[in-house]
Amino acid sequence: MMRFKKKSLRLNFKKFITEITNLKMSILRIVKQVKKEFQLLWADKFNIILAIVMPPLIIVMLGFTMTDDSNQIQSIPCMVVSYDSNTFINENDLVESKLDHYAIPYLNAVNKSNLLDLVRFYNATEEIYAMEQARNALISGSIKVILSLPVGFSEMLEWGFPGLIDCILDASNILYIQQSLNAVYDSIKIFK
Amino acid sequence: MYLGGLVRKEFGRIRSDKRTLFLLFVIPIILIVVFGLTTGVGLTKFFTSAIITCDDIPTYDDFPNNSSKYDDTFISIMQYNTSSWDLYRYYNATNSEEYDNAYHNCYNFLKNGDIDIIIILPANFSESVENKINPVLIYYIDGSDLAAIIAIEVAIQEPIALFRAETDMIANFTIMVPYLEFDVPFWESAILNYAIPIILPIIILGTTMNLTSLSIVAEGPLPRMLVTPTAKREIILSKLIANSAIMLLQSTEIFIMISFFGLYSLGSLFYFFLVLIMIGFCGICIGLFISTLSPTEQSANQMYIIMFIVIILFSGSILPLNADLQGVQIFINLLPLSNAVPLITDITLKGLFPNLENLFWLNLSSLIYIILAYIIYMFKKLEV
Repeated sequence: MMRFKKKSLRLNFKKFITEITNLKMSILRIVKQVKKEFQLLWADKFNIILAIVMPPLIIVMLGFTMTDDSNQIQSIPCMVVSYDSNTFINENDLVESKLDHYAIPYLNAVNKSNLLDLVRFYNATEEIYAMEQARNALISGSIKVILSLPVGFSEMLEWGFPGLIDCILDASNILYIQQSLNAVYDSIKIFK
Repeated sequence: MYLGGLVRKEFGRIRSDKRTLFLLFVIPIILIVVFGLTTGVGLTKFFTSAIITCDDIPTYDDFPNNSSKYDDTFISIMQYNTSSWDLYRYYNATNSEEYDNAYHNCYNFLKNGDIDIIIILPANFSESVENKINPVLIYYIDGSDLAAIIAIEVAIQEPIALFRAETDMIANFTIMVPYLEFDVPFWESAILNYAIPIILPIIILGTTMNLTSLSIVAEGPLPRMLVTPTAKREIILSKLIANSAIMLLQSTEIFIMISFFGLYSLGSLFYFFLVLIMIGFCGICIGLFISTLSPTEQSANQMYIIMFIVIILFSGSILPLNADLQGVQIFINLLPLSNAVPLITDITLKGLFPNLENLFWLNLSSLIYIILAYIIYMFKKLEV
């Protein structure tokens, strides 16, 4: 029994030594293969340039061109068309009124907002084609939003009702819809 | 050799490459079919919320009259009346221990992505409404969701406006009424049609660049042909003609397929088709440029991928770019996608004539790439 155990141990040891030798050879082979691969890569300089130089170059370019800079806010170009000076007729008592004293404060709020860039203000009472001109600017892409103050905007606020601002957005670029809405909401927050 | 013979040879070479033909004609169809079948829904974005109301907790100091009348109104509005909100769950916390448990649960919902926002109604919520003071809402947004961060502040104005109307707090209050101009009507495939200006140029550019990026570098007998009277310019021209003909077929196929899947176009379909062809032509020119520049097939493949990534990244359609620097603007203009996307948007969603500036830059970039390809090929030393 003892002799059998000894023989088995000797066999195991031999097997272990063989495996170690195989492993050593295998590692040596891998090292030589890696060396050969490096030589192969080194021979093709164009590939090396593409693999090592191009990725950092792309990142540098992205750094130059990305707009996500806190000091640089991209304001949305807009036009304000006010119908507030038009005659408002109260449906309940048919009394006419021509209040428009909230239009200018809202215009100031648009000017104060860093997110909006007021390109032009139209008083639609004086310029009857104001909305058409604003729409032409929207379709040409020179502005992204038309803010329209409807008839009775000042009257509503004066009488304790909510003031409604019609906000006509260029929805052709889905990336800018929410950005435009946020910019308009910013002007409303300043107006409050 | 006559140019006609060279073009015929080029057609034969393209026909023998079954893998490229598959990529060119079958992959776009598969992409359009998959995209068309999976993007039939509208664009309405729903935010899911959980509410913790602390309104039942007694208040003192400025609000001696205890009330919890209005939190139910707000919860009911969030549950049933809003168009862009969905109420996942609400908790009524009557003491700090209940609040802690409710907050812990809601935090886990937020973490697991079940909700986008936790809204907390403070203990003085109803008292503030009764005293006609604007109540304060506390909310926690899922900061990992960029869309939620950008949109929630405006979206929450809807339930607030409805609540104000319900509780008669409408004085000194201004709201905006949005009207979307040049949008895709709700009965059309909205997502598909918004994606068309980006997806189609990417498919066409990707496949045409792939078609030509190996056409010179991988053609073994080409150097031997230079021993004959065939000039290098004839080789380049024949490749341009043959590949353009294949691209024309591919653009027609894409145009027909996209029409089947509900293309919404306010503008001329002829201009739309013309722009697709121009994009494809630009892809061929870039592919030839890559093929002449690369010394080996492996380099050409690598350069194709890098070029494609650059074209997509700097198109301005995926990431917002700041093109204030003159050089950067020219670089962006010379990438086809930055002109292709506005051109297709103008035609399909605005119904406009293609913008001449974009057309100019798109064709100029094609011209520059093909001239560069020719110059590089002229000076390239080939071993016969």
